[in-house]
Parts: sequence; C-alpha cells; structure tokens
Amino acid sequence: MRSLKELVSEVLGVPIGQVSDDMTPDDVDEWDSLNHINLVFALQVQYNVTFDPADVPAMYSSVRGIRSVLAAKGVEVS
Amino acid sequence: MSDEYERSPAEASEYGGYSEKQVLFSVPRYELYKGEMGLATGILGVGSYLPPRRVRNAELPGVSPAMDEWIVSRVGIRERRICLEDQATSDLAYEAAVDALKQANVDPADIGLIILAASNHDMVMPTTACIVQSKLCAKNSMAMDIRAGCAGFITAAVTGAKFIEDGSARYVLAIGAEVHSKMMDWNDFKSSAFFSDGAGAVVLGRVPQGYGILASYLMAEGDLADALVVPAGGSRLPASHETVDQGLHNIQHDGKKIWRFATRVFPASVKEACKRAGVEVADLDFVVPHQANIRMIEKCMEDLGLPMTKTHVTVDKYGNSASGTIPITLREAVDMGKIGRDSLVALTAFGAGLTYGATVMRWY
Repeated sequence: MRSLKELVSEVLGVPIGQVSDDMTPDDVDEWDSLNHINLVFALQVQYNVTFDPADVPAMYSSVRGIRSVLAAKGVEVS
Repeated sequence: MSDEYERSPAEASEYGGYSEKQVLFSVPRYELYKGEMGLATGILGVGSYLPPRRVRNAELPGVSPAMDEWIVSRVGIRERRICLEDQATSDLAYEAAVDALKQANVDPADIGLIILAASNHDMVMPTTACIVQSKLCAKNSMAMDIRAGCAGFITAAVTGAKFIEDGSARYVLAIGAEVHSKMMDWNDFKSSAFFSDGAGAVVLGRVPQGYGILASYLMAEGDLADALVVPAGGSRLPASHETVDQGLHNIQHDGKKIWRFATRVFPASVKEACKRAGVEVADLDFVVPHQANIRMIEKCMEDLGLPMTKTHVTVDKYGNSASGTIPITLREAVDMGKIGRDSLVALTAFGAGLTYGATVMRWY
C-alpha cells in the first residue's frame, strides 16, 4: 500500500520531497479546491473508507489533517 | 442597387428552414450603411441553447455525497449540461443563433458578419463560423472564429460591434459556443466537476443614441498563458499516439492561478469600462459575469460594492460553458425581466490566454 505522502505526491503532481505533514493547500498551487476532490477520491479508493461531508473540508487543511481524519476512521497510514 | 432572389421552400427546408435571400451588392456595403452611422450599436436579440443532457454531481463517476457537497460549497455547481454524442460546437452555435435571430426578428440574409468564439471547434479547419453560416444560409456575411477562452463571447461582441460602427455590416451575429465534454478527462474531477457545454448568441445592430454599447475594455496577459491549456493538437505538439495516451488533448488548468487572476481583473475591468463609459459602478443596474464559480462571482460583486441582487447566476445548473455562459445568462436574465429597457448593464469575462474584458451598455 502506498504511503500517504506518495499518494498526495501522485495526485497533486508535487515532488514527494516537497510533501510533508505540515504541507497545506496554501503551500502548493496544485492543491486547489477542485484537485482536492481528486485527492479525496484517491483516498477513498486507496484506504477503502467513506468520508462524511465534514471530513472533506477538514482534510483541506494539511497533510496532517488528512492523517487525522483517516486515523479517526481507524486507518493508520505511513 | 441590389439584386435579390429567394430560395424555394423545398430548398429552404434542406437548409434548416431558412429561405435564402442573397443580396448581390453593386455598391460597397460601407456606402450602403454609413447613413446609419449616427446611431449607436447595441444588442437587438439574445439567444441560447443548452444541450439536453443534465449531469448532476452525484452522476459523475465516483462522486460520493461528501464530494458532491464540497463541489457545491466551493464552486456552486450542482449540475451541468453536456451535449449529445453526435453534437458538435456548430450544432450548439446554430441553435443559439436561430434563437437570437428570432428574438431580434432579423433575417439571416441581412447578417453582415458572423463571429464565433469557441475553444473546441468542429474541426481544425474550416472555421466553425463558416459552418454555422452555411447552416443559417446567411449568404451575405463574412464568417470568422476568434479564440479568447471564456472571454471569447465578449471579445466577439465588442469586435463585431466595430463592423457595425464603421458601416461594414448592418447586423452582426456574435456567438459563444463550447463543447468541453469532448476535450476533458472525465476521471479528473478538476475538469469534470467544472466544465460544461452550451452556447449563446446575440444579434448586434443599430439602436438610438444613448442606448447600446457605451464603452468596452479588452485586455490580455499572455505571460499567464500556461494557466489554462490544451497542450496538444497544434503545431507545437501535433496529435500522435503519445499525445493521446498522455491525455494532452484534454483541458488542463491551474485553479489557484486563475482564481487570483479572475478576482483581480473581474472588478478592475468593470471599473475601467464604466470609467470609459462615463458612468459610476454604483449606477450599474446589472452585471452579467462569466459563470465559472459562484464564490468568485460573490467576491467580485462585493469588491465592486454591488449586491448579488444585481447579478444572475446560472453556473449552479449549467456549469461553466466558457464563452457560452454570458449570453446564456443574459438571455435568462432578460427573460426573467431582470434586464429591460434603459437598464445599465455590464458584461465581464476572463479566460484562457489569459484574456479578460468588460463592456457597458444601456439596454434597448
């Protein structure tokens, strides 16, 4: 299974070295509100989870925010 | 001065129902129309065509209810219109043009110029405008395409008006039409949630002084060209198996760069057009902006100091059909009585190029 950083890098088209838990949508132009939908979709497929409406904006905060939402659903990712 | 003939009803039905009245001029049109040059130029009729296929967010492959809610909250789009498999840009443009001609009560034979704005044309060559000219049987017109992305309709209308102002044409048909659905990756929500198909058109002609177009402002910032592109299919990157495999014939856009650009130029271009027209922004009765994102419209209206009651939103139900959005929205606003005689109206758009502009008019 791909790591969260690998997935974020692949979907947003950002070099993996640039992806950190602290990375926010403000840090990269590629992470816009529409590309966020691509990321949410990829997370659903990769980790076999279903997100609630409140999860989607919560994940539009940082990579750490995504990790927190996934953790709350019992998904621990590397 | 002129020699006319009418196409027979049988021939007419072959050409979409319009009878052909070809006028063979023995004097230049410039001479013919310059007597009207004391008049202003305005919109005589506005038409639109929305493809029949409605696609709600939930119908996009893979969209969950949570994603649907996010799309609505961030861009305001609930559903979009998509053309049928066998429809091309000229088909949508033709329907919108017929609607506009009926509204204006103008015969296609009296059109002196058809100017069509689109990004995804029927073919690389000939122009889509010429295909529409043939379908309309508008035998006395020049026909040409322009490309200015989502600002295409405004660019077409402002350019077309010049042909009336200098006496080259009595009536001009300005069309904005787009078929995004055939140049995007449906698995990329960045495109599929955002873009749509549709067309709109206006008939421009002479109106009494004080009415019609008061001033316009068109501009481009080519340094930002990479913000909205279809990379392949042109002379830089001709079509090949590789370009198809890599999805390079699909539209690609940098949402944040466009947001920053649009929220800067939308209010600025309306202000500049108002300044040129000698009117105050606060005096505008209505603003018809390009329909890309409801949040963008809200922000820009706020920046202009205008309430949302002075605009009309269609992006929620029709999506972003690029150069089609303004005439589609204009048609609906006129139908709803939001725009009427004497209304001071601004149209404004921004798009690929990047291009932008605004025009201010007193509705006749």
